[in-house]
Amino acid sequence: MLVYVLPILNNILESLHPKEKQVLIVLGRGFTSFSDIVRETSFNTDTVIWALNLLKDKELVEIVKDQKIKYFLGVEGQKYLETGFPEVRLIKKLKEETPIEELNLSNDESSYGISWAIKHNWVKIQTKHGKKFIILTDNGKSYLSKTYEFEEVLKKINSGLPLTSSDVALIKELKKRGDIVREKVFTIITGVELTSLGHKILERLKLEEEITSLTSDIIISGKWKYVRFKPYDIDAPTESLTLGRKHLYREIIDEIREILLSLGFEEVSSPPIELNFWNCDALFMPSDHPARSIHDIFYIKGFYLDKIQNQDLLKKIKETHESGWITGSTGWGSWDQSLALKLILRSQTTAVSARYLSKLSQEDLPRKMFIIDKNYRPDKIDAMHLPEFNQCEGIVVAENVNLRHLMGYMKTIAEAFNIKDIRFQPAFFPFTEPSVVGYIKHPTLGWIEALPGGIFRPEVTLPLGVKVPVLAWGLGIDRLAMVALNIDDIRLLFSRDLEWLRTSPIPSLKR
Amino acid sequence: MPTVVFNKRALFSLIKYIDESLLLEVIKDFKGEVKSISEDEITIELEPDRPDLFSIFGFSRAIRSYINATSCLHKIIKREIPCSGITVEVVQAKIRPFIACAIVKNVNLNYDIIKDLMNFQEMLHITVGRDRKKVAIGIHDLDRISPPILYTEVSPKLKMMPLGIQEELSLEEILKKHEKGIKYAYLVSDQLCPVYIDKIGIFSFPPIINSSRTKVTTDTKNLFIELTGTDKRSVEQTLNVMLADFIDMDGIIESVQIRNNSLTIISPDLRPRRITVDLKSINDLLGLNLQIDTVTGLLQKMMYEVETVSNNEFKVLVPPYRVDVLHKVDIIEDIAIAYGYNNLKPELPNIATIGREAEMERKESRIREVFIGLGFQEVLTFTLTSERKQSQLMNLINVELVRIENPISDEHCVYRRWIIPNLLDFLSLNKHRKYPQKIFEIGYVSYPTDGNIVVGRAVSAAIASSDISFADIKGIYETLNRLLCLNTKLIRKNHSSFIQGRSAAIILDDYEIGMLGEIHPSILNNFNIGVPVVALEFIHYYPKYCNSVIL
Repeated sequence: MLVYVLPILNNILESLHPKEKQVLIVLGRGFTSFSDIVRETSFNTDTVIWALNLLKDKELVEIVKDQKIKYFLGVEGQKYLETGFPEVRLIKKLKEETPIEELNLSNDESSYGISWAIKHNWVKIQTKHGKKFIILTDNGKSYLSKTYEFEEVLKKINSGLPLTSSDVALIKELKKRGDIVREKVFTIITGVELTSLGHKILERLKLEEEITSLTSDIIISGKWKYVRFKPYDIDAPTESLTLGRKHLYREIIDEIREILLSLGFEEVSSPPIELNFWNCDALFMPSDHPARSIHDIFYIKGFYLDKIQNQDLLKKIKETHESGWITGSTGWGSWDQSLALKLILRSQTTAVSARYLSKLSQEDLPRKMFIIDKNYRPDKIDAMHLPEFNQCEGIVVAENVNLRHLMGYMKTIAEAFNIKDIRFQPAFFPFTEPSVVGYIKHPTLGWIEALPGGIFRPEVTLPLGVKVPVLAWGLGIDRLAMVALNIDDIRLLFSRDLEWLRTSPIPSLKR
Repeated sequence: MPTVVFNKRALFSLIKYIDESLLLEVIKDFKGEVKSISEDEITIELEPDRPDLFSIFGFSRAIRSYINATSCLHKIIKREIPCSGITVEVVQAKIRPFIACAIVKNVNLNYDIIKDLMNFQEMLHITVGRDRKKVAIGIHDLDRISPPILYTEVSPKLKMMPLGIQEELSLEEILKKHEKGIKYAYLVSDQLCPVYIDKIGIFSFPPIINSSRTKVTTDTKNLFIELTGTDKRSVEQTLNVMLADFIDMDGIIESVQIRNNSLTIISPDLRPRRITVDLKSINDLLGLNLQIDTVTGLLQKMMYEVETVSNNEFKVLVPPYRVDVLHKVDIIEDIAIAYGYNNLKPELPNIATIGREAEMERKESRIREVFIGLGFQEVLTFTLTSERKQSQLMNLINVELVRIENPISDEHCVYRRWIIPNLLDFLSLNKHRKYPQKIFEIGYVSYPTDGNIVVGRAVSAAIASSDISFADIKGIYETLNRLLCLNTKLIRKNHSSFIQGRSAAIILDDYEIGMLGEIHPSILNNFNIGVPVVALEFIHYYPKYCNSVIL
């Protein structure tokens, strides 16, 4: 007797096709006839036969087969079914005292008809006055009103009715008479039986069905070797997860920082509470510049710088504003020192560039710097304005840099966001000359004003002690972030909707 | 931004040889943005630096020269200005000490031209005039003035008949009753008012209003233009901006003698300014290799004239109305514009520098990473907030705050001293969202101290959950302290924003840098929050900053 060790069982189990498994399970439920198996699995018959043959090859089932004969009508059988057998037709034509020649018989009636009628003892042949006569016997007379058993069999075959053993005997007779009945032999499965190996495998299959979740007991006990997990519905909804994540806007800021750091820019940070001096005066914005009014800059209440350490710088800025100092400029003609010494909330990150430049010495060059930080303006809150907003800007401080280089940086930054199309236009900013704006082409929004910039005026750089050109560019990051997040209201950048923050896809400026 | 509206037919007839698509391109080169364009009108937003472009004459003059590549500057600067024989005597002028005057004869005014002129005058007032403070313009019918003319300061009791009112009012009354008087009263003193007076009486009260007697109408043929202000150069240049237009209108400019004590000057002064620009500076700044002839042509396109060229230096004549040209770099920009910005090939210079994160940002990236790992959602809230949220709603009184002098509303009138109130505000707006809610923010905070202002970067976090306690927030703090090597410690400390006995101060080197604990239920009531909240906040970074080292 064969002893099946576990690995063999496992090999067999693994080799089973899901359809084979299903057939096995149906067998296990006691359905052993072929038609039952077909019904219970709802497979088509070919599939069941295929599965059973595979199972048989694996010695899991034995198949009980039987042969069956199926009969069809031959060409003559078909004809006889329609017109009747010739011997029957013959006896119906017979008239007393009429010689054969005058009976008007068809060929088959005069050949097969006469010979089978004689055989059945339905007629006799007599010769009178030199002429042949067919005489109906009593037996023959009874068939005029009786059904002919051969005809009965043809009808049964034709309509597929079950045949009796006497029918089969008649068919044997008929087959001797030419192409009346044809037969075909079929092998059919009458039943399927599980082998002992089949039973073992079925037991394992039954075990598998019962498991829905994996427990530590199943893992540790080794039961897992016998289990199969009930498949889950992958379309069933799951609970939405809350996770820790960066603010969406921060994702964009970090993306920009990464690009600028990779371009060799050094990052700087500086507090947003600033001296008016750095925000405006050091940038050569005249004291009466409209952008310095209370409508454009937030002033801090009650604070005013009274201790000035760098008197030298203060004096240079004063002279530059008043008369141009040594910069070659005409200056503005006047300067209001008390305004310069007021504390404000920074209205532009360029204030930080001015601070940065003031600390540079010749040995520090060349330098590239950027800052992304908060600025403030007393704007009424609407879809385009917030009193707090972010700016990104960078400067390049080096010998021999020029306007084409500035455009080169703008183009490179745009390219870092996968934007190929950039167009330049003259622009005006109080502290740069020449000034430029880079427009980038957005696939759906068209040309967007994205990169303002310019070369710092000598009235800005010389008082800060910088003798080389300074390229300055900015990046409208609030606007870019709105584009990346596909929102058209700046207030949404600071949305306080927790759900939006939790579930929005991670935004990217790269297209 | 200054916005101009031009009649399209008039504009095309002034510019000549231009089609609409070319015009739209050229407008960009003059830093204009077309806001709308219709059958009849074109609306353009311009930068404030070129007031000479605010009128249809100045605008078309610049574009004509630009597309024809020939300067027509000579028409303005190379003509003799005949003397009108009129004298303006200046006696005691302290409030608006600087004046400039001119006569324009033989003008042909119709209703449209007068309307354009008034619009132009108003735009000059707003921009270069700094809303009439720096420069104010008065235009009068010369034939209704009886010279000699006196510019002086008089008592507000004196009377005049202001424009638009058919009765005599005292200057005082004008300041109190007339729309313009109320608006601009702050620009004059209540003791003395600047006025122009002729034989008949006061005909101008700058910067408030003109007299109805000298009002310009379609019958006016000769003009007297007077400007007053606080800045000599601006007053004179603004007059030039206007006169260029009258020259374009074929008016005849005549001069006026302005006598101030023993000093007599002739006004207007339409002589061009001379600025020297060297070829090397041009090519260095633009990254080009232009030759003298090319530069001369480009300068002419922008309405400059080159007087002489020697040793690769151009002596450039600057139109007398170009108030924006302070330095040779302004001329170099114009050369670049004439050359075409999009003809400049962008190029990256060969500069090797090393990218480096800011210390503060590097630190914050790590803090952020720990919070995210702990399952916190980052939020961003405003740094400007209300005093009520910072103090009263947090059970605090007499909190010293950095205050805004000119806030846009009570909701944005102080700088936040701490972020926890903002986080509570955030939680109160998200009560319908799934709990637990774990949020954090890293950002600026500020507070006054000893006449100084301290700015710091704070880290703040809050957890709102039905099942939360002091131990949870202490656990968060300890994780941060350990992973970020903060070297801080906790000491027991009560704080009125937290439940008594359930708060602690975060201490670094004997300084208290923050606190943590369970938010007091009365505060949760204030913010309308129905679940327990624990929170922590500390300042992790002080930028190198304090008032005394700014300058």
